[in-house]
Amino acid sequence: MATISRRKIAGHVVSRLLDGDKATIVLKELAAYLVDSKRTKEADLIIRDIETTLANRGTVLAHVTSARSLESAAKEAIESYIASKSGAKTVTLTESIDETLLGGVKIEYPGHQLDATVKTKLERLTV
Amino acid sequence: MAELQVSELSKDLQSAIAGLEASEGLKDAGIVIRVGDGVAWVHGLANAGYSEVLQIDTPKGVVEAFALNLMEDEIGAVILGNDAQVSAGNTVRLKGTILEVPVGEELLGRVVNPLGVPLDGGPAIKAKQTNPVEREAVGVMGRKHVHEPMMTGIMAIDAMFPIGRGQRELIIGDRQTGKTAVAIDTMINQAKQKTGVVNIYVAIGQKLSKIAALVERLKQEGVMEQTIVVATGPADPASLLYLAPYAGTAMGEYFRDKGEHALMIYDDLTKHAVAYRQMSLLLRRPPGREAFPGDVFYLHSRLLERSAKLDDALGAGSLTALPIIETQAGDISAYVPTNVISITDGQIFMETDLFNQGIRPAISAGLSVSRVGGDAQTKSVKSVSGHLKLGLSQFRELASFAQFGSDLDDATKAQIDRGQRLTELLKQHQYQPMGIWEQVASIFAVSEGHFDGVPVTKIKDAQAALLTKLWTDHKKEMRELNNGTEKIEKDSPSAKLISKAAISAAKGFEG
Repeated sequence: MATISRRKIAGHVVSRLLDGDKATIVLKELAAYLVDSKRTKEADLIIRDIETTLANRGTVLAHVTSARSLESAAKEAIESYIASKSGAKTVTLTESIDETLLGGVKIEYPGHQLDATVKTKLERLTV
Repeated sequence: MAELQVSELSKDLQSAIAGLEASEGLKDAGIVIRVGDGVAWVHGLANAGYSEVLQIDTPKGVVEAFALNLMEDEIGAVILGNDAQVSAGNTVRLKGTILEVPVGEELLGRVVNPLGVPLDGGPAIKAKQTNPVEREAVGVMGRKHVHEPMMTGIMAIDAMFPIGRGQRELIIGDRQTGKTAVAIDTMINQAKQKTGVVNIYVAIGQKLSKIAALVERLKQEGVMEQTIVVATGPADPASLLYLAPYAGTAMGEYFRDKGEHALMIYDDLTKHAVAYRQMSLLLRRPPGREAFPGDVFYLHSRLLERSAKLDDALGAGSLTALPIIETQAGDISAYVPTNVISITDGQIFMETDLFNQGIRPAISAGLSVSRVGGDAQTKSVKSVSGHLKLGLSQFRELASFAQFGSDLDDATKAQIDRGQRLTELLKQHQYQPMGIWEQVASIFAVSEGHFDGVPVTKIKDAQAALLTKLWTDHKKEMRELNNGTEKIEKDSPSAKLISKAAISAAKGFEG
């Protein structure tokens, strides 16, 4: 049997999730399939594919890294920025702090990246 | 003084800060999932185009790659730098352009790699213009037939297999048969005859010592000012070897499109095909004949199609190509040689046997051909060399027949004698390309029979004596003859002049 592409698996999982199936059940089935077809190594990539497919269907899971914790106003601004760029209906933001960035933010959502950190700018300056 | 420095410093700082403010904005991003053998497999980047440049962020800086395999789940990209820097998990961004190289006069006299980075220790190249490495060839209406000569300075080629500007003439032969020598002599001749043709020598996986020696020689001969060397060595990644001829052609096209004339030398396309085979196999494309991928014909046809003679409306520039192919044990029916033979407008076939017999350049009269150069041949050379190729081919056949030692009639003997003299005459030392007048006078003297009394071993000496005599006594006429426009007929003044000089030159060697 030909292997099913990750894109197709992700499409199936997202359809199930958006149809209201319970995430735990869907993920259990996915895990069982991956173990059965000996594709457990691809788990990370499939998660990325699921995120991408979700984004295409209007739900964006975004991640923001900054040097200091962001105020809620800033977060809202970022959310609306992502929504405008990706055309998403809902944007879910996760946040992490990395002091080595010095300042600014790094926004990542499936397939895209906006690096506006002081660290990167300085690195580019030295080049 | 101190004040000035401070104000300059603050200017620098201000411009640096202004640069800081500019953000690169939102970019398409993916990640490297695995990497090895110069190929990176990338997840994401659904918007990547074929042959688009990707930038891989590594801890040691950005490494560029270009996307060649666009598949459902991943992208196969060939890395243009050191693949050891790239590791799985690195972020990959789209650059938004396909590969481009700097082009222009700034590159003349330089040795660069296929990305336009200087390798000669000189300053960075600040070209005003860059052109895409892969470009579509000129269409039908943009072309004109090949009609101007591209003199190689090698008598055997200019007389028998003339090359025209805009032609693609393959140089094919085993290793160590003088293929590169023909190409180099052609480059040197462009400087000696002051044709103004720009040379672009593309070394594909050539030993760096060989390239260094070549560059040194070109400098000695004064050719380097009108030459660009695109160099890749055996230690460079296959991606650079693959790019080299396309990058070189992009540099040549700049001159072609400006209405000037350029000469491309691809040394050699066998190594190019091998580099592409390596890339294709690593990209997991299915192998075909001799393990080459299915598109190895297209690989060379799209490259050589860019060499053209442009129409007057497009500036009448030209790009001539001399691709080189190395055969194994004279086998021209292998995959890549047959491909390139069918793509080009003729080939110059170099034979090991001839080379070992001391007939150098070792050009085979029977297997070589120039399919479009006839119209482009210099008039005066054409008028003296009409029967040369046929005579030489017939001689080779007769000579092998005569080996059986049977008694020969006088006519056959005469033909063999003439053939031996012609063969001897067409021998030529490396780095000594000949002008038009030298070629015309030499061929005329032998084919008119003025050297029939000279022993075969003395033909070269008699030729040298003739040329010296003509140059010292008739400089003005020879300069005129060198324009190549004059037809040499039996009773024309130039013919009489050459005949007279040849008869007197031959006298010194008869006996």
